[in-house]
Amino acid sequence: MKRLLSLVVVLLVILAAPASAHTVMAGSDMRFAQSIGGSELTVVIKATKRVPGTLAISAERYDGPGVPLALELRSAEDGSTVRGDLSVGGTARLRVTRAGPYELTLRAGDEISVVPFRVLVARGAAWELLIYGGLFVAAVLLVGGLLTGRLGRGLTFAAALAVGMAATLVVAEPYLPQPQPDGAAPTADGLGRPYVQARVTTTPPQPIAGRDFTLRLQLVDGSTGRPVDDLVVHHEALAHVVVTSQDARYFRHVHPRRVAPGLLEVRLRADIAGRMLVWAELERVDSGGQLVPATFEVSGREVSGQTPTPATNLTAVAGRPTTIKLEEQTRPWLGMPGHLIVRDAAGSFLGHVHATGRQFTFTFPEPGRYHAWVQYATSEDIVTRPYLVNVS
Amino acid sequence: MKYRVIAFVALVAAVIAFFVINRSTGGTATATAAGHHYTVTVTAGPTVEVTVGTNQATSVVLTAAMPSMGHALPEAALTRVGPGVYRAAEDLFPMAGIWELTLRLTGEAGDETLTVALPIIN
Repeated sequence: MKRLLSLVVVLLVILAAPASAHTVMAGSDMRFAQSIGGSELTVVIKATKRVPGTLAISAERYDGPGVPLALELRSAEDGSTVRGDLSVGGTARLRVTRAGPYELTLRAGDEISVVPFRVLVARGAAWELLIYGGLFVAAVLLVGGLLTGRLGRGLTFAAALAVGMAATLVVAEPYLPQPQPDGAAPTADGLGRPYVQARVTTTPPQPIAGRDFTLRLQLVDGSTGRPVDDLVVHHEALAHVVVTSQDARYFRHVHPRRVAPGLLEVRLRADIAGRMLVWAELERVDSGGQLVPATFEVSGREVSGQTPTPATNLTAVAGRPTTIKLEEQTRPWLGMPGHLIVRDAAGSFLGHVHATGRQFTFTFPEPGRYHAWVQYATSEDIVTRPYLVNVS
Repeated sequence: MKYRVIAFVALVAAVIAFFVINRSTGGTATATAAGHHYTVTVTAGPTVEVTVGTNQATSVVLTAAMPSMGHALPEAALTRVGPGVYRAAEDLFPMAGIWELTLRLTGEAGDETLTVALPIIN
């Protein structure tokens, strides 16, 4: 009995794996926002419970015309590829034959997004088999013994032993590590990963007011300089990028497309010229959230036409929570009822708080003049309301 | 009756031993990756062996990094040891853990870079 117990202990120690790192799990949808084709979309991948199986991919429109997407799903392990078309509001069903790493390519016109993710399939724990096996053996022994009339002490003892093992494992189960699902990446060792360094460029190198340009983020590992290709989907995006003009009249909150390992792109247009401030919010696997700042210049002359929404004036006290209420009924966007993005006048501070219920609570760190933008989705589009906050 | 109990315990021990053996990695780990030009099967620990498929590669260069430790190793050109099989010349990994192995493949089909992550057990 002692030997049996020690064997069970050895088995449990060997099966003990570190906690799973950030990955896309089967059984839970993967949702990620994309600024693509002049639209703000959220693409949803519904996982399959088993392989071979089918992934259901759909797109929700939050702003813009809602362009159709050409899909290509490719196994990163065997290269097998399936294609489909996805219109907003529709669902594309793409077949997968194995668990493991995949790349989903989205195309809208000349814009491309390559999203890596893993198809994971839950795997039963080894001890479950021991539990059911123990109960089965006990049942066979007892029923066999009764039917043959040979249910002596020995058989009863053996059956009790099997039931005892099963019962011990049932009691211990909540404390046992869960097995890694099929298709999971090797688990990280909990040491954390270095910060990201970003090189932010534009194409053309100096964008012109009123014309499209591409903002490009090249992400490299802060230690080794290698491309960072382990971004986690956090708040339903690989990266949240905020671009504002120095004077705060221009504001965009977009979700760039991954085009290659460590390379994110988003197409933008600014109607005003001058200095632009960029912040990228992102998170690596086994690491915390990070804020990467950058700047670029837009040349040319301001394009007259659209008058920006005038900012609402507010006052606040530094170090004390300030509340801004949402007046409208909102539609959850990026998993939240609303977003409040705050910047100081100089552009050295950025805050991003989410609504709780129908209000935002934010604490301005220092006195001064701040720009703030309330953002929320309605059934029609994304509404952005600017504020000018004087903090005393 | 005593023998039956012993037989039963032996059976349970055999089942457990099967699981233990089945689950252990034996000190090596394998991953596959498919690019647009090449497929690779990488077996690592303590050295690295790469089997290249789909097209023939003329050279395979490996760079290894361990993101959680913030360190990387110099490029290592792998030696061809058989048809489509390439091997690192020496033991590469200074420590156990999750390593990212980036393979730069060149050949008539084109150049391609493929990355796999593998647990290395020293």
